[in-house]
Amino acid sequence: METDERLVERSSAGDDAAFAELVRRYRERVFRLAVSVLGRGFVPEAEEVTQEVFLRAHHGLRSFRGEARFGTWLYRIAFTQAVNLKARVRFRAPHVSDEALAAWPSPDRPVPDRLDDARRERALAECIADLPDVYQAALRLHYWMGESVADSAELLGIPENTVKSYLHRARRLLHAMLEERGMAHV
Amino acid sequence: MSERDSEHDDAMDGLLRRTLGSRPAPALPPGFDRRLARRLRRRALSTRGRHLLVAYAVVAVAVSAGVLGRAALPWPIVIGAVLISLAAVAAVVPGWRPVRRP
Repeated sequence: METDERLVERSSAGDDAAFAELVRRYRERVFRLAVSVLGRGFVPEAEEVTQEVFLRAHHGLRSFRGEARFGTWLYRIAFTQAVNLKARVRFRAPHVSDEALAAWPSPDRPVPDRLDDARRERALAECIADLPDVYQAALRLHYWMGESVADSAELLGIPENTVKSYLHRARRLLHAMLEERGMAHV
Repeated sequence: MSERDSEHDDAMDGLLRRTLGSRPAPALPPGFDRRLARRLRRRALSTRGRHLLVAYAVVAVAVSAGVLGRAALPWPIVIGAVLISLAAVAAVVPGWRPVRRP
């Protein structure tokens, strides 16, 4: 299999097939990173970010000097793009509201339990949205996407211990926020 | 970390696993590659397009230099003005790079 470096060289010489291979290798991970920053109600925006990342990468391949790995470079662009987009869509309602998602049917549980679950999940979703962007991304990558700490660290471009620390601090903050809402008994 | 903090941390860990972990992770919508390829094509100029752009730039530079020269401006200023204009255009026009089809 051709290395990323070789594909980058070929792409910057104008070889579309090489760039298509780079897209194939990284598109899903870039998308997951974008969704982890934006949240689950903004999947179309995450696709938009993913496209923009590859357009920028294609345009800037010649400026890529190989000091970092190609993936790391892409993830950095993706994180910045997603955070910038999030600042613009912050006050826009998501395509699928967290309320609707919290009401996801789970028919094997009694109705009162399901209502409790929905209320707690909605509160949790609101609390997560109040966390700093990088904590939100770490939480969603780890708990929602099932990424390991090592993979989350690679996507976020930070050391593994920092991811662990972010996750720990995020859980502590979430617990305090839920406690304030009278929902500490999780 | 105290025992109480550790209990809270474990409880939050469990809640996050139950809630976030129970939702299917989204996948990239189908047709992504096609949409991306279309946008890449739009941004990249064809060979003919680049030739036309270069020809236009040459004519524009020649006309600008002629007009500015006849206005009795010193040549260093004329050359500087033309180069700065060209650099500004190069910075904002996407798709300067040639596209080689496989």
